[in-house]
Amino acid sequence: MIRTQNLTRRFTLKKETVEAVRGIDVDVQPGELVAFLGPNGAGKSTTLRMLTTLLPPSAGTAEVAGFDVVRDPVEVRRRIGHIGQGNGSLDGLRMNEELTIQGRFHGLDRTTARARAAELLDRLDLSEQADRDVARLSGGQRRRLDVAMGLIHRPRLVFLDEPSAGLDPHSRANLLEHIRRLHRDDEVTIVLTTHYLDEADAVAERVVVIDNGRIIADGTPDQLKSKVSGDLVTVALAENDDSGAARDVASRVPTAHDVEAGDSRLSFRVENGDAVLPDVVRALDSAGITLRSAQVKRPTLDDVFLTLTGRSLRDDD
Amino acid sequence: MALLTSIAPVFERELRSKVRTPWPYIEALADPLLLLVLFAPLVAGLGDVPGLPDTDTIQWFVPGMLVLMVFTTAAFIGSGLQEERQAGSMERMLVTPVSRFALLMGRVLRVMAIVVVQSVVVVAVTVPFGLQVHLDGMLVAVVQLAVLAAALGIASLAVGLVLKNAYAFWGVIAIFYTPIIVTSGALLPMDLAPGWLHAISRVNPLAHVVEAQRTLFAGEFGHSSIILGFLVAGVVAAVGAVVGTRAMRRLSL
Ligand SMILES: Nc1ncnc2c1ncn2[C@@H]1O[C@H](COP(=O)(O)OP(=O)(O)OP(=O)(O)O)[C@@H](O)[C@H]1O
Ligand SMILES: [Mg+2]
Repeated sequence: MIRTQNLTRRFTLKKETVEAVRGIDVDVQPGELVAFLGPNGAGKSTTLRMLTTLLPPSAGTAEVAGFDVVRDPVEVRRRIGHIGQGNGSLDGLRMNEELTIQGRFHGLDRTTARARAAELLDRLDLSEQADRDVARLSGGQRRRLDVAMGLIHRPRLVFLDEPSAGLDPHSRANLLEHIRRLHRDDEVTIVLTTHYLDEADAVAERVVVIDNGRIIADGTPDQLKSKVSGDLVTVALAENDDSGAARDVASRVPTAHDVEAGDSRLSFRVENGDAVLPDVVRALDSAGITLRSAQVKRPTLDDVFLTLTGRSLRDDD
Repeated sequence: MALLTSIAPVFERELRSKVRTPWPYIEALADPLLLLVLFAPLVAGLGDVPGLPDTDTIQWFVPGMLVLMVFTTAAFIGSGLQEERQAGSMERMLVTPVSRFALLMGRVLRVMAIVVVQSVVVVAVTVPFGLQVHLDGMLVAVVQLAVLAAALGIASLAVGLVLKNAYAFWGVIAIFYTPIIVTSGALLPMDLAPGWLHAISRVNPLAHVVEAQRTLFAGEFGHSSIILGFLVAGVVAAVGAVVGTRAMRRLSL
């Protein structure tokens, strides 16, 4: 579905050159659901814009839906849906007008476009608002209209740039469910960008981590997490004075590393944390250390990003 | 054919969005009518002035008003394109098979259609005040106004595309607005102007169209000013179309 080679984009701003995308090689097979994950300014939108023919690459090539984005942009546009980072509808038009006309932009005749619009509005739970001016839609409804516009011509490949940015948790979950269904029931290939870790984790089968215009990791969420060695075990101590003794106990646990103690708190990483925890509790107990609580956390994608770059993705939000 | 089928939905989308918020067009219509009521009597009261007819000031005044109306309707449409670019709707349309040229032409056709309706309304309203209509002359006049609307519209779209910034767009408009209106000769005859001002009016496309319109409303065909009016509008349209389509093709968001 997608194959890029050394895809690169530079912007020149008053003598200063911004290297937005620095040589991306990525292959996406039909039926995949891929999330491009990265902090602000990582180059996600720029990559998507090149793949959707909105922006010519400075170097490298990209083949999308069987056609080269530079040589055959119109053929690419016929075959893809693109839901951009901003709102795609214009105030003053009604929802079904925008949607039907979008169908005609794709060459559907009036009758087909209307039928298809009605079908999509129904599917995205927008039928009630069909005759409403888009200016009077809620954020979530407006975003779903964007999705509907991207699907009007039944593309086999759909790009979504930050589909759920700015939505409340409920609308976000709802939108993600629609995306998931599109993937599962219609077997549409989906590429989305996000800087929400939980979103990438929850929805994507494959996560491509982008930082500074480069791919720094690519795999299933589980594969990526296995790059972070071990689960995080955190124990709250009753007495701060026990910190030193607790550190000694933890250091003796096989495979434990990154041991930190202080502020009535002990933490370390260890393989198979769930199985290790009972032993740790017993060992602390026999050393006469009183515990308040204990917790095991599997690595998150944020831990992955932290391991790879030394920075946290969360700081950017 | 393919171009036509892609212009049609763009045109329809434009028309639908404007018909529901018609205030700018009603305003553009009210402008010439107010000038007709408030300013035309002053012109009539000037008496013996070079370039003005002795009687029938309305016959002289209405064609100029129509040209000004076309200007207010067509010359600002570039800002609509900028707004769609700021929002995501332009980007959304650019990822469809619709040609870039069609996205411009749909807008141009929309102002042409609106200008035709507006012109008929202005003429119909002014007939009771003594405007004499020569049907064939008026027909050609309306066609010429539509061509002028297309020329100004496409030029405005080109400016809107080249200048990404809305402030820059309105800045350009503000600089040109007054000189264009004054030197068009629509309000007062340019025969009154000193040499330098008259020279400026010669490079103002509107001035030539105003003269052509006056000839047409007088029912005089075969006057060179009519051809000149079409020619000037045609040149503006051609330059705008070239700049506009080039900017549109290079448009990356
Ligand atoms: N048109 C442009 N002109 C100049 N620089 C640009 C342009 N578009 C993007 N950039 C720069 O390229 C870099 C990548 O931007 P991009 O929009 O691709 O990031 P992103 O990963 O989508 O970020 P976000 O999560 O904030 O949407 C940034 O440094 C940005 O400032
Ligand atoms: Mg982005």
